[in-house]
Amino acid sequence: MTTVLQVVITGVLLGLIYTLIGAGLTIVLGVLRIVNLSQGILVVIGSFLAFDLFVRWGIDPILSVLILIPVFFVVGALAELLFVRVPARDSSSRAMLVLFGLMMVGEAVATLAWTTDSRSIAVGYANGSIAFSGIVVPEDYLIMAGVAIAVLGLTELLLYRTMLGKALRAVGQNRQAAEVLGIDSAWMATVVFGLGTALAGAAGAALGVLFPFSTQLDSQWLAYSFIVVLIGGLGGVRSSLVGGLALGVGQAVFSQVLPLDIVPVVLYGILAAALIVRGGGIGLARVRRI
Amino acid sequence: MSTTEVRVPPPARAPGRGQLAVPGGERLWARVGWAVFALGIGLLAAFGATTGQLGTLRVATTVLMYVVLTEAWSVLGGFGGYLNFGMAMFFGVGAYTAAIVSNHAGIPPLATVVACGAVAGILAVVVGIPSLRLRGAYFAIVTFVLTLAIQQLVSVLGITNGALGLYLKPVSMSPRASLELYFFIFLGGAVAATLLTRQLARSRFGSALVAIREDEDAAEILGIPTTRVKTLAFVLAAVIAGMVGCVYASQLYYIEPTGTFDFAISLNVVVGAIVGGVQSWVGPLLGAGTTQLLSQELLTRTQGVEGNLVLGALLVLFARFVPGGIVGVVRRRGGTKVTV
Amino acid sequence: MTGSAGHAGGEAVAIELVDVVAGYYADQPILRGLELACAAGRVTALLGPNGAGKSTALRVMVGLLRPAEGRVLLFGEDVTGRSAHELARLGVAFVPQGRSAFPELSVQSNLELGAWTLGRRRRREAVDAIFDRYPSLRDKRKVPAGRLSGGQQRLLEISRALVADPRVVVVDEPSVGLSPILAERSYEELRRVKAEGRTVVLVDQNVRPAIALADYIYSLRQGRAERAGRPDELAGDLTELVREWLGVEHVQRAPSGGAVGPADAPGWGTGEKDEKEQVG
Repeated sequence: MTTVLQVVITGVLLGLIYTLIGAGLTIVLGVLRIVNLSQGILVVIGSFLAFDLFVRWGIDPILSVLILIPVFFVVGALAELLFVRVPARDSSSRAMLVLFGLMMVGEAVATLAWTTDSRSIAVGYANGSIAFSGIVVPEDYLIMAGVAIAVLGLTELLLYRTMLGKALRAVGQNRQAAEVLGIDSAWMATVVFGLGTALAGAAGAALGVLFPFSTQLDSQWLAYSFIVVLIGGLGGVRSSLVGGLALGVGQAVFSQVLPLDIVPVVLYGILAAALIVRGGGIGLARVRRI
Repeated sequence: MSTTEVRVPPPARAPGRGQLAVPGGERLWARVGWAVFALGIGLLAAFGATTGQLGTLRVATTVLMYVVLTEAWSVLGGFGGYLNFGMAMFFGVGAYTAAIVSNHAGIPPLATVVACGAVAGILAVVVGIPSLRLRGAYFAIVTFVLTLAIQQLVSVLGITNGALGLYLKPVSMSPRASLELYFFIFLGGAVAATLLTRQLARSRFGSALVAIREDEDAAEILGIPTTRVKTLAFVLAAVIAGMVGCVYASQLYYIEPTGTFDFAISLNVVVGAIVGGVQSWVGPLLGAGTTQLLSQELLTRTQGVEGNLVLGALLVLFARFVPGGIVGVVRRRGGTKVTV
Repeated sequence: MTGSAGHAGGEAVAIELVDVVAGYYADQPILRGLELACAAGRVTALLGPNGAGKSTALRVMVGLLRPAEGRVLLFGEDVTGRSAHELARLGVAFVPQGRSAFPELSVQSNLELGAWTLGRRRRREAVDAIFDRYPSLRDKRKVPAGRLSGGQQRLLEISRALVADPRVVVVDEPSVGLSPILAERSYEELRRVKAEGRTVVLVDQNVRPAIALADYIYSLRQGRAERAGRPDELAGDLTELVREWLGVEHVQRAPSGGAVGPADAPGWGTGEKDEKEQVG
């Protein structure tokens, strides 16, 4: 018999991982004013790569995260240089069209590489659970939430304690003012894009352990990352946390109460509503920035 | 989409012809275009009436269908700059309305076409008014999400028979005649849609949309009723998509959620417009034609994933390197300056 | 109207614009062959009616706008087309119009970023030096810049521009949006900057303090330098020029009488408390 507390705790753990997806989107959006539409497919590819690393070389996803972060960072930085930088000078819409195209290409390539079959990373702790004072918590949720906390914590440190992080945030708050201080904002754009991509890849590895995934799931992750951003706002890791936890707990609660089929519809509906209510405000100076 | 050489007339001017001052080479280009256009229609009609290659006829019908959709899309998406990813939503609603109404009322699906357009239009009003308050990317994302949501919803609702889909009553003709019928319907539709879009481009409505794309705040200050204009353009695209969906359903006589609300439909439309060039009524024509021919070519050879790959690659290449689309390239070659 | 001949007359030239044509849209140039020279260690003021291109000229000087034609020289070196961050490394500091402090970053972080072009070791010294100079900023070092009053933000913006010990300080509208007391404080800081031997180039709608501070004045009109000279040289015509600038300005000024531009972006901290707060 699941108690309310148990559902909430599960939701919180899940929410921590959703924060990872959202953080990547939030940071890029906050600094560059660009919605990284390829976020979803990056998460999926992260899951698949973690899966391959596990199946072929027995590398646990926790370690895979360490491998995937730098790899995805480089990929993201290259993508920004080649595909985003020039269009972004023109307009953010044009850059987002390119990113959307990359999402489609990524999805197609991933399907060619891995087929549309569903996979899951079957680690040893996938089925274990930990019990304390009457509450049963799935072990994999706990461990992956821990990974998420670690990655998010490092990101927070980077953004708030290092000069690089401050420069990134400065570019997001006033790009020209940052430029005249000597900060190469184009370079910062590349770095932040790489950062956002890296976070997406890490999230993919974590989510691959918890849920079965397929190449068709990219839209869902993209939508979820939007929900995180829209509920939480643009304040970097901290606001992503708000959004992520809300989404995690919300999903956990809805899954108990509604038939599973409807849950995605409800979440999309909330997303659309949040977009409409919030969407006008994001991107204007009105909103808190990271 | 940034600077172009377009001047916006103040509303105090006499009503009537708007002034879409396009760079000099347009007149020559237009005459050539008309000639090609007329010739093309003639050739297609002849082809449709006489050909024995049914496969090609089917492909041509699909191409024409997308010409209709893309032209309709381009009013809001191209002139107005609001990327609408929701064409699949209205297309599917039209298809399902056709199925439900024709089955319940016992009339042939094609006869419901007006109803289908109306239902799609109503949905567009409901969805559009809140969504169009969003700018740029957020509008695109909302339409994207809503398409996903409606697809999910339709899969679970009873009236639509869920994932099992619905059957429609097919037209009682020989396969050859029925193919011809739909070919000519879409040919007529493509001509109508193209001419309509061209007309709108030259009207005050079109100028208003361009003004909105250039600088929406300035347009508001100039007195342009931006919400009304955007909503009208959105509804127009939706109504046409709904009608196309109805015809599509009638032709296929079996529809189900995944194929009818397939996001690929929206994607095909958007990519077609970008490839062709969003700033002209000719663009969607060229773009839809090119994109569809390419992807249909591939569809016959592969399982379909490559279709999306090509579409995505086209989108990336054009948005990154050729933002003006085919029209932009031709204009630049012609010596007239176009800044995109 | 040429710049250098009558002006520098033997003095080194810090910034020079040679026949500059520039604008934001290809078919609408704002500067149409602007020529001016700012002597090193002197204060040069660009004055003129709205739309004359004063702010645009500043932006070309600091690398935020690339000229379509013409050249930009920094201490004799051709820096045309170099971006703003490159020019910052070469010792050009810019205080933009309106609010330019990073609102969500602390005062300290803002200053640290001002020292971006210095190494880590020198950065701490430089920031400490600014805190010594402006103790009120030290008191508020942890406060997010957006929460400071208008006057304090302006002080932060100016001091942030000085952290890296620039050779040239370019200021766009130092007094606009501030009460007269705080505007005077801004100019006090600029006098101090000049006393330190730095070159100052400024634009201001409030022409009187600008004229009082300036060693040399350029009167801009429609993207060109129409008149130029030292304040005493222009003395007689100055009254008429001022009337001309202000006359045009009054027609175009927004009804509120306040600054038009990004200074009023909402949400960037508290509103003006200038009457109660003190700068410095």
